[in-house]
Amino acid sequence: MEASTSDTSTELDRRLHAITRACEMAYEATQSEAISSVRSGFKSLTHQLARPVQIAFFGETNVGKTTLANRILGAQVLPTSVVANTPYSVHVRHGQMPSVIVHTADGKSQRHAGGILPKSGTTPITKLEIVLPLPQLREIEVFDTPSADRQGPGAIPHSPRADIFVWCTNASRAWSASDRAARLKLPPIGRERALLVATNADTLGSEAAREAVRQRLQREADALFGAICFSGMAADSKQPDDQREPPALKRSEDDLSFEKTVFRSIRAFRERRQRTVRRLSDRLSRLAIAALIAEHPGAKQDAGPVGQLIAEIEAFSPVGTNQQ
Amino acid sequence: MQENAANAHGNTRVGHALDQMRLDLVSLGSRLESLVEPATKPLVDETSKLLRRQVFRLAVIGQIKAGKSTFINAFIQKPDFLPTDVNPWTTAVTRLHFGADTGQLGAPNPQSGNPPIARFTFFNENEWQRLADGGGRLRELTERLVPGFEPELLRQQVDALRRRAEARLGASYPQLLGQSHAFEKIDEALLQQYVCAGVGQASGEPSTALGQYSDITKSADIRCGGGPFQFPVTVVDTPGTNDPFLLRDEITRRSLEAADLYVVVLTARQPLSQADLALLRILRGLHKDRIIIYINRIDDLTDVASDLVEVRRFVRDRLSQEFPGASIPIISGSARWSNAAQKATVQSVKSLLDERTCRFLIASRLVSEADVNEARNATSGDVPALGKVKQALARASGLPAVYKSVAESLHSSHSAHVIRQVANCYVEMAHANRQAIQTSVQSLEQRHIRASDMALKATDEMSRLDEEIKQLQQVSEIINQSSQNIETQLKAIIDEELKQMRAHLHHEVDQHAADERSVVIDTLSRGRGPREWHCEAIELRRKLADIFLGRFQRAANRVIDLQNRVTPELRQLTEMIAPDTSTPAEPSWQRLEVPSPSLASLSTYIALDLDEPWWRAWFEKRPSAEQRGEEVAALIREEFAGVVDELILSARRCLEDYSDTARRWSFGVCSNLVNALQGRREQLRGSYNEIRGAVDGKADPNTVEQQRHQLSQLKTQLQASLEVEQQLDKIMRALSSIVEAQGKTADRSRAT
Repeated sequence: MEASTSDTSTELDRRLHAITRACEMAYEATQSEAISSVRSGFKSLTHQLARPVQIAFFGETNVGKTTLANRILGAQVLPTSVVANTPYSVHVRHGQMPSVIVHTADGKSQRHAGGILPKSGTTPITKLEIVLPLPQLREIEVFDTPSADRQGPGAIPHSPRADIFVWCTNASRAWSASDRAARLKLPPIGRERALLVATNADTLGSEAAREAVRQRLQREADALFGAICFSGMAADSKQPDDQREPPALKRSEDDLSFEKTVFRSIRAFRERRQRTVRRLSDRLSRLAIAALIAEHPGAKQDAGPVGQLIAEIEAFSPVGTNQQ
Repeated sequence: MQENAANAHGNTRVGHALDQMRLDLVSLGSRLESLVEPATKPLVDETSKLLRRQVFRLAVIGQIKAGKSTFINAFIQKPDFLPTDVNPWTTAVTRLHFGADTGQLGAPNPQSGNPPIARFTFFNENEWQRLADGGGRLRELTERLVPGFEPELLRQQVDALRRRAEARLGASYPQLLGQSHAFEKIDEALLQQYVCAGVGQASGEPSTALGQYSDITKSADIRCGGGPFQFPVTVVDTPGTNDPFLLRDEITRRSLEAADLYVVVLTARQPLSQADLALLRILRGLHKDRIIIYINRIDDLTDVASDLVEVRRFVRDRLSQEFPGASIPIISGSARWSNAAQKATVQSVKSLLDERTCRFLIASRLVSEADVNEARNATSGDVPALGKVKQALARASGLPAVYKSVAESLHSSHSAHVIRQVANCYVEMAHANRQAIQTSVQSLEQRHIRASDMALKATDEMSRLDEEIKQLQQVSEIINQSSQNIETQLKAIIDEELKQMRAHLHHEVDQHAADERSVVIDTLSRGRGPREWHCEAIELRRKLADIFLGRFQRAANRVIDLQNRVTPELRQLTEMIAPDTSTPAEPSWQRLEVPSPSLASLSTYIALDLDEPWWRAWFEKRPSAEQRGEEVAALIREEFAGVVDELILSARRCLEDYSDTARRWSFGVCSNLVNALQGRREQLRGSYNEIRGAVDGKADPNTVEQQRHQLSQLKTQLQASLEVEQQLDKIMRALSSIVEAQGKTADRSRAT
């Protein structure tokens, strides 16, 4: 399943790249307006397809959002604590140079190289961007958010627009009324993109207890989430002194099932995205060929860059030419 | 077994000293009753009943799954008493009554003659209609805010509730409403039938006997014997707040009834979340000094020793931020540890000794590593190391600290206040009574000698007695008049103060409404959405509570001032008619305070507390910013009008109760004295009448004998009265030492 998905994904990606390249050449030769817009259309689709999947973690104080974020990153990237700890949303993404970008309430942002968190200034921080050269960040990006149960205006200050929402709730007090209320405050998202994780499941003790909680969650929260799973306690919440070498994470069976569930959602998201991109490409192809032929009549028959571009697009999306 | 448990916690029974005083007062009361004038007996009887009725109410509250029931099991030293589960489980308010049976559970079974041990009360028809047909107050509120707007979830839950009740109890379940079931025995299965959610609780699936009656059970009352308490105590278990089953959340809010102490149970892994804070804000507004916090489930922490320090610091910092200057005791522990330590089986302890728990016990130096290892390998309960580990668990559970806090709180409770008040009244009464007897003895002795040989002077004596009786009658009238006068004055004070209080409270509400109006209009007209505006009913509540308590204290001080002016006058009066030979005791009324009024109405769920989705829906139906602002202001005024009314009512009740009792008691003491003196004079007059009639001028030997007998009786009474007075003095001293110790502890905890 996974293999076939990534195969078609690679194929689609390869095709889109080929078209974009053909666009470049055709544009260089003609400087035409039509080709320029066709180029930017395909470029943006290519980017859409390759963009890392963004996963955001939500939940009330101290349910283990950060711990789970680390788990998905596969490394102890973010600091965790036993009390409420994450004061603003944190965005972890890929970049060659490790750095921290601090966004403040005045709308400014400042980059600090080396991943060293600066001393807090006078302007309140609204968001932190952590840039790391970790290879897994090319595939996924993570948003860690402060507690959802803060009250007052701007309670969820910068709800990131993520692809997958992971709602964390403590297994020993799973899905309370405030959980539900906070979840409903988020912008509406499809059920299939939302996950419910009952954290610290090992505090439940027996398998029967876990099953009882799972059944209740399924009864009460099923309408809002595409999947419900458990995760274990942080194996070691201690922060190592040397943060450059994140320690490996111990995993329990719950954690494995949690990771599996998240990655399944990521895969499902990619498949949906791929279908969308494919659909959009088809539509774009039709429009592009019509526009190209209108601007360059006879180009289809000649072997120049425009002709090659049309051929490339037709090869990618034969439906488009049939209509022509 | 229970004794062992008490020893394991190293405690004497809670409320031991205070209860001894209460019982001593009850027995002294009945002695006093035999000594006072017949007209005063009902007053003594009333106070004695009051003493017998005293119960300390302790409510355990918190969010769902904080471990309230588990905590109570540990606290009452019955490890498996209340059923617990991993899902929200407790559905009804459960009151556990400790101490002598005072008939809280109703009449004995007519067949067996045994009093009930447990009684489960169902909702009555009205309550059920409100819940099941409409979703209760929540529905009323949403209806008022957004007519025709029916929250889907609420409707689903109401449907589920009704369907489930029918599935579990049959279609004729409405016949059960308004009734109650009483039992002479109780076991776990019975409790599970009535107060546990059972499986399928939100889906309406029928299930086993588990939770059979839980949908319609409003409350449970269970008698539990003495438990760890000496003083009569009622422990109240509540369903958790923040329950996604909205109806139950509403039931819980309503059950935050008046208690002497609230134990707020938090869970260590999510200490003091917003939902906890919301609960505390209400409580703290209501009862400043009646809260203790128990951080439960520290055994859930990854590294107990180091995490606990952080958790406690976090809770302390957040509390002092939220309630500056407050001194709320914070206790941490694990009720599970205490329960395991109280159980007899080896397995129950061993199952708890995981790596983390052991590390914590050793790190806190509660037990040695060798003992832990030995206990983990123990196969029988005789291993001494097992006992040591049990002791360590009991100490680490935090329960000993809870007992200590509860005992301290008992000493400053309403019950302790009543006991002091009664003791005070008894002292005054015994004192006045002795004076009356003493005066009678003196006059009888004088007149007895004179009358026996000089009967001729009887006529003179009689006219003098008539004069005295007339005087006493006048005094009695003065007392009655002044009592009435004081009553009128007290009433005037209370009326005046409450009028001002009402005006002040209304002013604050209006002010707040006007402010919110401009905030709403401003926010909306700047193009911001309703999400930018957040209704802060909490802040207004806090202000109202401050005004209310401040004003109440003023009124109470005026009432006490008046009493303090009256008491010396009454003393002077009694001094005049019955001079006291002993040194008068210091009047102690000043030290008494008027008990605090209930602030419960401030915690009523009002429309302003509704969550954001409702507000959004509400705003959508209002076209202009002005209109929205107007309506918000109107809503605030309307919703708080009822709250203010109830506050005034509760203040009136408190002030009137206090002033009425105090006035009746102190004038009762005085009347007792006058009545006693009058009675003796009447008797003497009767004797002289007989002497005057005698032919030879000598008193009839029978009469003389009668008088001698009377005299000796009076002397015995005097002796008895003196003894009662001395004992009462002792109790008074003990009581004030308890109060002073309490005050010092409070000062200390405030200082730290």
